[in-house]
Amino acid sequence: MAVRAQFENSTDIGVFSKLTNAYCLTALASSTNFYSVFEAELDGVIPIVHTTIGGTRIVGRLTAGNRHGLLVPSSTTDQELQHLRNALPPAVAIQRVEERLSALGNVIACNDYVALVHPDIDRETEEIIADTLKVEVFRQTVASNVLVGSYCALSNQGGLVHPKTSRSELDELSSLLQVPLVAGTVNRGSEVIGAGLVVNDWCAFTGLDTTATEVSVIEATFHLQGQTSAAVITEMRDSLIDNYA
Amino acid sequence: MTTSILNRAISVYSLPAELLSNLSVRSIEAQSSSTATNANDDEPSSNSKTKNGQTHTLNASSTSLGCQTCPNASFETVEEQRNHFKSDWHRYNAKAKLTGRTVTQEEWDNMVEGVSSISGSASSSSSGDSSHSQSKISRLLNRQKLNPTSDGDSDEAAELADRQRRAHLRTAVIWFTPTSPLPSLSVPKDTQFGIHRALFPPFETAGDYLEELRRMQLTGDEEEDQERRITLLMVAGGHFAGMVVGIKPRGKTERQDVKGAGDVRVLQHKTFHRYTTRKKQGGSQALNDNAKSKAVSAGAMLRRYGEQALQEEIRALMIEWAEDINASERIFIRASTHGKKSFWGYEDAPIDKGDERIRSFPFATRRPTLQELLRCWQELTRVKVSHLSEDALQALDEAYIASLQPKNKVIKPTATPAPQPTATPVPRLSPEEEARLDRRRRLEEMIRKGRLDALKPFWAKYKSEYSSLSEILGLASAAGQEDVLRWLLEEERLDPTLPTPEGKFAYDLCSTKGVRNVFRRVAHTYPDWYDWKAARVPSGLSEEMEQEQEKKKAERRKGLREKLKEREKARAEDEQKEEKVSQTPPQLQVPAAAMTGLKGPQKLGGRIGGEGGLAGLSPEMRQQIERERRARAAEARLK
Amino acid sequence: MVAMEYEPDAQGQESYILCADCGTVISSANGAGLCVGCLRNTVDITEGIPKEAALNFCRGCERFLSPPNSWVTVQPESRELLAICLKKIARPLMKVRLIDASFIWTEPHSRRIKIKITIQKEVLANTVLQQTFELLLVVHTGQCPACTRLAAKNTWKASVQVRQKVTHKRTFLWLEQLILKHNAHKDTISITEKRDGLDFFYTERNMAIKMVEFLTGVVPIRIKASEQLISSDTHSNTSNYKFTYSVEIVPVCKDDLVCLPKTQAKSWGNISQLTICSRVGNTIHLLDPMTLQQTDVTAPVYWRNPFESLTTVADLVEFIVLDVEPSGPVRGKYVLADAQVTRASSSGNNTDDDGMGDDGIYHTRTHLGGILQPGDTVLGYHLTNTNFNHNAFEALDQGRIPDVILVKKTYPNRRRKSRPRNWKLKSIAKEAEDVQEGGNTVGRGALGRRGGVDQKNVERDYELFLRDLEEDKEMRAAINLYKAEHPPAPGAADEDVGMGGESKKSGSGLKGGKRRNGKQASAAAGMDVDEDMVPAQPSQEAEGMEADDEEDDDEEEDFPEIDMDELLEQFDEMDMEDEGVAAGPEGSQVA
Repeated sequence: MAVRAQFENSTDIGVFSKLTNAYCLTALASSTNFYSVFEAELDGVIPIVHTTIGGTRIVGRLTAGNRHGLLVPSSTTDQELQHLRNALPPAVAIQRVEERLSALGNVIACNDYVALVHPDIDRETEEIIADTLKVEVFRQTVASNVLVGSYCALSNQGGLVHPKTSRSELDELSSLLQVPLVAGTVNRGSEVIGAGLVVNDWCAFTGLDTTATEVSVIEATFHLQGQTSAAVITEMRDSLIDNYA
Repeated sequence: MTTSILNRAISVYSLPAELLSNLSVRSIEAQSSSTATNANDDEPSSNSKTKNGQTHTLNASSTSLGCQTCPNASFETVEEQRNHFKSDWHRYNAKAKLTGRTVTQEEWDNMVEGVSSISGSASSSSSGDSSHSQSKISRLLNRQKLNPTSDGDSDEAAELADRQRRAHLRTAVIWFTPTSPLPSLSVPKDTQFGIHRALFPPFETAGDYLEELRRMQLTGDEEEDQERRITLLMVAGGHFAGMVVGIKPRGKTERQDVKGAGDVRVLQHKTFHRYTTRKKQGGSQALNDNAKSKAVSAGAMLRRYGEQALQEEIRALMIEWAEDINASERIFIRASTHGKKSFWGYEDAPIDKGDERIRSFPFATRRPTLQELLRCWQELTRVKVSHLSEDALQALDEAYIASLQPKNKVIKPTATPAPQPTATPVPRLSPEEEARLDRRRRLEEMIRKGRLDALKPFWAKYKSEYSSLSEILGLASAAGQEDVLRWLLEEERLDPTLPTPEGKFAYDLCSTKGVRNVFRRVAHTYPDWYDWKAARVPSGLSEEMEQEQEKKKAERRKGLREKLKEREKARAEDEQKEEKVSQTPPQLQVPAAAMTGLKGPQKLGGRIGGEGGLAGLSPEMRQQIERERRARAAEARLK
Repeated sequence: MVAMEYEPDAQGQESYILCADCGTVISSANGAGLCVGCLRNTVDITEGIPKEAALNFCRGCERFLSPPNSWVTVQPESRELLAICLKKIARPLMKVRLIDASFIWTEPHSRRIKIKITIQKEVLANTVLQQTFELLLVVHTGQCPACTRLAAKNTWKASVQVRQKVTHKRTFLWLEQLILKHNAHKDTISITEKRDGLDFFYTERNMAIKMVEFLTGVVPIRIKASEQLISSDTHSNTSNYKFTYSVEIVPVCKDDLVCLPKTQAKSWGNISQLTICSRVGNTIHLLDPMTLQQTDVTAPVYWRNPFESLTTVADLVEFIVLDVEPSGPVRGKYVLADAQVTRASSSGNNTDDDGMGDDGIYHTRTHLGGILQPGDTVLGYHLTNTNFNHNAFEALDQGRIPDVILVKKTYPNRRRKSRPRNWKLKSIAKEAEDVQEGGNTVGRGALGRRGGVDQKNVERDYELFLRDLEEDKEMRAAINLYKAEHPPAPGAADEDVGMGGESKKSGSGLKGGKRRNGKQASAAAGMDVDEDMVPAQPSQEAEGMEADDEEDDDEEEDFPEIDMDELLEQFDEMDMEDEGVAAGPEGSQVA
C-alpha cells in the first residue's frame, strides 16, 4: 500500500522521514499531519519516532538504517541519541558514525541484507555499516550518481532507482542486491527517488505529487498490492522488468 | 635545370616534383633509441587490445554476467560477480569512473605491482585484507591523479618515454629529408627541409604528413589554385592587421596594391588601430577593469570605447570577408583570449571557435602591421632549409626532448602517506604484516583523534593482534585523549604497569594534567588491579580529594588576595610616613634585607628538592606550585 | 589514456520508465520523467507571454504606432508590421527562442491582426519544447500626435506674441528667414499674423520659452510674460495655465534716421544726436555719418529710454552723386567723404525755383565714401525738404542739420532690368504646409496670408526685403537662400555681354566694366585684381561690383548643392573676383 503524504507543503517526504521494517523516524513538524499519515498506517506495528538529528529536521537524509540498526551522523546530539535509544526497539543497534559524508541517508542505500554506499565513504564507516546494519556493503554508483541513497529506494522486495539507470546497470545492481529493480520516478517525474519515497516491506509513503502511474509502479516494484488487484500490477511490472529488461 | 633550388626561396605549395617524390619525414621517433620505439609501439597495441576487449565485453554483457564499471570483466556465476564487486579492482574503478579513467585487469595488476614495489612488498592484489587494499586503492588513485601516464616502477624511464612521445611530431617545424641526394636540383646529401607543422592538420604518423604535403601542392589547374587562400589575422594592443592571401603566387601582370608584397597575392588586407592599451602601464583596459574595480578616468573611458570599437570594426570586417575566410585553408590568428572574441562567438561570425583550420602563429610576431603579416606569410610558407649531419640532428633532438617540461611537476614523496618511511626499512613484508601495519596506522589515528565510536568495534575485532598493549596506552596518554584512555583502562583493562618498547611508562607519557588525573582516578577507584606505584602513578585521586584540593586552592587564593590588599594599604601608609619622616627608609630596608637573607637558603633548598618533584609535572602544575610558593613568600614577608 | 576510450555498452544505456502521467513506456532520456505529450500538457512555455495585445492605429494618417513613440506607415501583412506586433511582446519573448512568426489572414475591417508565433524554450536540462500559439492584436484607432495637432488648432498651451510697432514688415520677413535657418519653429504648432506682428503657438511652455530665448539672441526685444488660469484642481493642487509671452521688438530698423535726445547722445560717448541705424542685431548699431562715430544700444538700455526713429526707409529719396572726395577718416568699411549730390527726381527743379539759393546740389558728408563714385545713385534723407514732429529734432541747432544724409547706395538701373531672380527664400508657411485657407495664398511667408489691408504693403515690403538681401552680403550670410526652379537661361557669355552693355549705360557699370577689362587682361595672373582687392577701399568697390552680379554671386555662395559643372561653366571668369569679394569685406570687418 503506497500512501501519498507531504511534509509542510514539501513533497520530498524522504527527506523528513526514515522508514524501515522495524521503526520509522519522522521529523518534528509544526503540526502532526505528517506524523498522522504514518501513524494511520503503522500505529501499533512499528514504533514511529518523532525526532530531530543534530537539531535539523532532515532526518531522512542524515540517517541510514534497516531493521538491524540505525546509523546517525556525528552531528547527532547525545540527547537525540538517548531519545532514539529509548524509542527504538532494543534489537535495533544505534550507532553514531564519524564520517566526512555526514548525510548518511544520501550516501547509503540499504535493505536488510545489502547496502550500496558512496564510493568515497570511509573505510571505518563501511565496517560500521556492515557491523551495525548486518549487511553486505557494496561501493556503487547509480546512473553515474555517487549519492546512491538519494537516487534509489530499496526494500527486501524490490527497489526503485534513478530513471536514467541503464538496463545493464539495473541488471548489475539487482544481481548485487538480489532483488528486482525498476527504474522510475516519483513526485511526477522527479528522479530523486530517495527524497520522494520511503518504503519498507509492507508499505510505502510517497510525495503528494506522485501520480497514479508512479504509485502503481511503486506498488508493483515493492509488492505492496494485496492479492486482489495484483494481476494488473504484475502485468505492468512484468512489462517493465521483463520486456524492457 | 642545373641551378640549385636552394638558392631561392621555395614555397611550401610549389615544391619541385622530384623533390616531393623523394622526401621522407624526419621525426624524433624515427631517430630515437629502441626504448622510445617500444613505448610508442606499446600504445597502439594496448589500444587495440582494449578495443578488442571492449567488443568482447559487448558480446559478453549480452549473454553472461559482467560489470558496468570495470572494462572487460565477465563472470560465470553470480557469486563470482558479487565477489568481483568487493574486489579492489572494482573499488578502484568505482572511484576512477567518476574521473572517467577506469582500468582493465592487466593494467590494474601492473598498478598494484607498482604500489607494492613502492611499499616494498611483492604481494598480489588477492589479499583478503580489505583495509590494506583500501589504502592501496587510495594510494593508487592518488598516484593516478598525479601522474596518469607513468605506469611502471622506473619513473624516469617512463618520463623519458613520455617526453619522447610528446616530442614525436610535435615540433613546430616538421623536417623532411630527401631519401637520396638530388643532383638534378643540386640538393646535397645532408639537407633538411622544414615546414611549419601549423600548415598541416594534426597527424599522428609521419606518412600522413608527407601525403598531406603532396596534396597541398598547387595543381597547376588555374581555377582551382586561384581559389586557394589562407587568412592571417593579428590583433594586439589595439592594433589589428588582417590579410587574405592567395596561395598561388601573383602573376606578373596582376595588379598589386600592397607595397612590398612582392609576388604575394594579397586578396584582402586591412589594418586599423584604436587606443586601447594603457600607456606606460600596459595591458588592456578590460583586463584592468576585471582585475580591479572599474577605473573611471577619462583615459579609461576612451580605452573602453576603443576596445569596443575595435571589436566592432573587426567583426564587421570579418563579416565582410566572410566569403574569403570560408574559402581559406588555414586561418592564422594571433590574439589574446579577450581579443579572440572579435573573431568568433557572435552572430554571423564567419569563424567557429572549434574550427579545425584555426592555427596560431608558431613563432613570435611583432606589432600587427601589414608588413608583419607579410613577413609571417613568408615565414610560414617558405621552406626552411638546413644542412646538418646526422649526429648534429641527433644532438638537437635530445636537447629538444630535454627541454620539454615534465607534464606534471609532481612532488610525489610528500604526497604519500606518512607511515611510509617507517615501512621502507623493512625489506619485504608479508601481506599480513602489511595489513597489520595498515590497521595499526588506522588504530593510531583513531586514538590520536579520539574517535571512540569507531575505535570500539575496531578494537573488538583486532585486539588480539596487539602484543604491546602498553604502547597503545602510551599513545592514548601522549595524545591526551582522556575518554579513550579511560575506556582503555577501565573497560579494556590495559595494564599500565608494563613499560612501552622505549622503556617508559604510560603515565610518564601523559601530555596533560587531565590525562594524568585519569590514571590517578582509576588508580583510586581500582587500587587493587595493578601495582599503581610500579606504573609511576603517584597516588589515587578520588573525587572528594579533587574537590578538597580545589577548595583549598580557592581558599588559599582568597587569603592571598586579602593579604595583598592589606599590604597595599600598608605601603600607602608607609609612603605617607616617608614624606613626613626621613628615617623611615632604613627602617623599611631592614625587614627587606632580613627577608632576602631568610629566603635565600630556603629557596635554594626548595629548588633542589622541588626540582625532582617538579620534573614530571606539566607546565600548568609547575606554574601553580610556583604561585603557591610566591604566596608563601609574601606571607612570610608580612609576618 | 586507454580508459578514456572505454565506452560502456551502448545497448545497455537505454532505459525505459513509465511516463509519470499517462503510464506509457518512454525512454528516460528526457529529464522530466514524462512523455512528450504529458510534458507539453504540464509545462506551458508560452506562460507569461500575452496572447492579446493592442495596436495603435491613427485613422488620420493611417499609420501604426511603433513603440515607444514613432508612427510608421506599414503595409498590412508586411515584415514591418510583424516587427511592430512582435515588439508588443518583446519583453516576454526574451525568455524564449523565437522560431517563427507569421500572419494569419483576417478581414481588415475586423480590426484584428492574428499572428502565429512558434517558440522554443528549454524546460528542463536538455529538454527543449517547441510550441506554437496565436497572438491576437486588436487595432485601436486613434489619432497620432501629429494629427491631433492638425485637428485641434487651438490646443496650444503657450504662445509667443511678437510685435514691432512699425509700418512695414521687413523685420518680420527677416525674422522668418532667421527662424527657418535656425529651425527655431520646430515645435511651433501654429503661426498666425496679427496686427504689427506674429503669434507663435506651442503645446508646451518650455517650447515657447525656447522661442523667446531664440528671439532674445537675434533681435533687441522686451519680454512680458503672463499666464491665464484655465483650470485648477484643488485636490491635487495642480492647475492648468495658458502662458503668453509678449515680445516687443525695438521699433528702430536698419537705415532709419534716429534723433537722440541730447542727454542720451551725451551719455553714449557724446555721439551726435542725428544718427543712422546701421545695423540691428541683438543690439542696435547707431552710426553718425558725419564723424563715423558708432555706438551700440542694447535692448535693456534701449528700453530704459526708448526713442523712435525720426524717419524711416519709406522716406528715402534718390540722389545722384556728382562728386565724392574722401576726407580721411576710415572706420571699418566706412570711409568718410565729402559728397556733392543732387536729387535724381525732377523735384530738383522745384527747389531751384524756390530761390533758396541752392541749385539743387547739396554738399554733405557721408560714410559711404568707400563705395560711392560720381554718377552713382544713392538713397538718402532729404532733411531740408522734410518736416518732422519730433521734440529732440526741434531742439537741434538748425544750422547744424545737414541738408542731406546719405544712407545707402542703390542700383536703379539694375532693377530696371526685369530679370527673374534665380534664387528664392523658403517660408515657414510653406514648410509647415498648413496654408490653403480657401486658396488664399497671396501672402509672403507667414505674413500677409490673411490677405486684407496689409497685403499690398506686404508685397512691397517683400520686394524691398529681397533687394536688401541682394545688396547686403552680411544679411545674406545669416540666412539660407535656395535655387529657384527656373535657372537663368543665358550662359556665361551672354551674361558678360549683358554686363558690358549695361556698363556703358550706367556709371557704376562703367566702373565694373573697367575692372572687368582689367581682369580680362590679367585673367590668368590675377595679381592686379588682388592688388585692387586688398585695400579696404577697393573692397567696397568690389561690393558695389558684386551688387551688379548679385544673383550670380548668390548662387555660388548660397547654393552649395548646385550642380558643379553648371557652376563652373557659368562662373569661370567670376572666380577670381569672387574670391576678392569674399576676402575684401571680411578683411575690412576685422580691421
